[in-house]
Amino acid sequence: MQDPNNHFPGFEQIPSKLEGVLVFAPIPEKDEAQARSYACPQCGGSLKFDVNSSGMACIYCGYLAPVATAHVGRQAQSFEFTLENVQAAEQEWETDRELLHCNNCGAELSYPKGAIAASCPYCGSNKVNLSLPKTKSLRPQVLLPFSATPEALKPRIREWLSKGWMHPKALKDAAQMDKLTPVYLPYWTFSASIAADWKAEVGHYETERYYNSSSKSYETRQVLRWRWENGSITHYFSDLMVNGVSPNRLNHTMLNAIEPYNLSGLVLFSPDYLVGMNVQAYETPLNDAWQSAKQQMRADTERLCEQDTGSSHVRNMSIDMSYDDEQWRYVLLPLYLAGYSFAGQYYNIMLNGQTGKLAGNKPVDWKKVRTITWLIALIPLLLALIGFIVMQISGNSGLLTFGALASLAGIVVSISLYSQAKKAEKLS
Amino acid sequence: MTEHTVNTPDPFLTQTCPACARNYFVPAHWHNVACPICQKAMLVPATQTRKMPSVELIVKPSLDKATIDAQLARFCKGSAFPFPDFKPENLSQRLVLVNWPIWLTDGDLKGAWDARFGYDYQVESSREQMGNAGWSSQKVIKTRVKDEPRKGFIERHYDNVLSPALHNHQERLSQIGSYQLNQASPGKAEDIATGLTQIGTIAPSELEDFVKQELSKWAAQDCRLASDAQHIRNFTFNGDYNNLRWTQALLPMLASYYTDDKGTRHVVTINGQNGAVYGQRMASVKKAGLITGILLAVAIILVLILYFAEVDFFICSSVLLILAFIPLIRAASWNNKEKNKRPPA
Repeated sequence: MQDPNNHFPGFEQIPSKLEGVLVFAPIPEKDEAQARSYACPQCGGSLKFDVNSSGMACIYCGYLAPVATAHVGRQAQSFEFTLENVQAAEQEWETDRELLHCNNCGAELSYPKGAIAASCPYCGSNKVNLSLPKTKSLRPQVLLPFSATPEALKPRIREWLSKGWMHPKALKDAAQMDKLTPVYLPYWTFSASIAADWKAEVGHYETERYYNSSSKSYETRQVLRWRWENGSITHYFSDLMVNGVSPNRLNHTMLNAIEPYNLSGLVLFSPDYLVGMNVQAYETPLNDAWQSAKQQMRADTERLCEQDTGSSHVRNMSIDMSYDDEQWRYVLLPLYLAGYSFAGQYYNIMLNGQTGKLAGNKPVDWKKVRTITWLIALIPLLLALIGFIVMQISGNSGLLTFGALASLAGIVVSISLYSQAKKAEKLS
Repeated sequence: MTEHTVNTPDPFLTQTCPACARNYFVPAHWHNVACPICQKAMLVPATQTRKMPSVELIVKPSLDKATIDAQLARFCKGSAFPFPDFKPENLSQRLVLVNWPIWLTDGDLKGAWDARFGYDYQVESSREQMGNAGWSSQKVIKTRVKDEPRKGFIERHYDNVLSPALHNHQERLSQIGSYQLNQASPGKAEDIATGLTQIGTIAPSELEDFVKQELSKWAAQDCRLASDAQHIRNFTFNGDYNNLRWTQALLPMLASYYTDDKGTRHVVTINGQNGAVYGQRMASVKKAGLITGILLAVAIILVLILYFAEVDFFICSSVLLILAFIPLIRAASWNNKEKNKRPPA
């Protein structure tokens, strides 16, 4: 037998099931769940990911190093629902907390399951082991780096605060802004192709000739006729996104408002991106997220089948749908969390870390809103009252009619403005 | 031509057929043997005496007489206008055992290999149905194949790689079917002495590349098993094939014949293991012509009777005359079909 050493670069010997045959397989990628040091090679200070330069920067001496990664976009590796993955997703979720070890001061830190990377609260060191799930596929493989910088976003927040007549005028200047906290949020993306056979009663308008006994002549009319039809469709769902954070932790309405994220900017995961950042691991397990995505796919399939009928009149539809080539990814997406105080109250803001799209709570100047809505409702009423007097004197009812119509319109507008203000208080 | 007669068991003689050039080892006590496969000439001593290669395995004929007779009866049944000689008992009486050769190669394989193997794995999918009660989901487990590269070394010995010893090996197998070599037993002289042994037409030197390919195929399956994979593709072997050793296995075939109206012999062959019969079942044109003649005579007499009976006979007589030719047409088309079959290989 030949000497196998160094004969197949990149391969390692694995157990063989047959005597006389040596088997070599590709060397698996090294597990990244190791301690990494983020000390500056120039001054020994702590390195952090710098959004402006998209690299590792030392806040003390200005040292800058690029992050070793690669742009993968939508071609990023995805995973299938293998029995192994599905089982691992269920089992690993059962562990609640994990111990992390600080390599700098030796502190043992107990972190909730949610934490992927952390800084040591005792010494501030970033040299903390990454806590990653045992199953590689359940670790983030790709992420979308921050591309919107806090410096660029701050004026945008001020501008946002100043917008809208129903908010306090002093908001822009008096709001006490917190700093923007960058957070990587977990998302599941799902792709699948579906083939669906549908059967339904479809209504089609047909022209019918009939005898009109009153006009004593033959006339035509449109009649809706129902008949059973069937058909089939195929469709590929690409990268449906499901948020992996519990709604108790983050306001999902606000989160939905700052989407979409452009996944063509995905890069291969590197722990460098997480240094100095807050990272949230998934709280919604894979299987639950997949069920959410499937709900969306079902609704879309139903809509596509209805479209396939070629009619807007469809009833008693039944669908037989099968999935194929189901794929999923676990990705980290960038988000800035911020807040501000105003008049003794605290308000939340979220910003898309890629596009800078903003959503948040804003106080409403209810005094202003009430005044305006009352004015809109009362002025036409006043006009109607004058119109009534004019009619009594001159018999001309024109102003009364105009006033009455304007009053109705004013009430509708007032109610609409009021509900808009209510909504704006929750999310702007 | 006369048939062989059995005298005393002696060593084999090398004989050849002057008509088809097939060579045989004939037991020395057999005389005046006709070529069992072409039946066109008597075997004559070969110009060059050959030594019988080492016979490692022999598949003995495993059919009893009753089975052979039943097979021959089935073969003869339903033949159109058979020759008087085309009878199962005649065929059975003239059966001669012909052992025909196949090469067995043993060899060692040593070297590096490279392949892509497929590993089965299961994924969870679903099938969903929407009706009046909303959506219902059903879990479906699908099997998929994961493709992975593997490399390695192999050093193994292989026995009995099969390769043809006759140029018409494949044709013969397609005519009488394949053999189960696991029923073979070690070769003994007395087994060979009960029949003729056909001499191979392909020398081992011509088969070396073929055998290496076969060995490589065997090695590919072993590498797949060693890697615990279910599928294999793009297997390449880079190494040596050593100690190639060539022996033969003999397979049993029974050959017989029937004669036609002109005295020409038509060969029928039987797989000595599974009983499959092959041969051209020619129709006797002479017999068909005789029937046609009789029918024509009858038709003419009928036409005359109808003529004198002053019956309007035109259509009737035409039909009778056409019917009279059917046997001849049937025999000609039957023979045409049978001639499309190649003679026993």
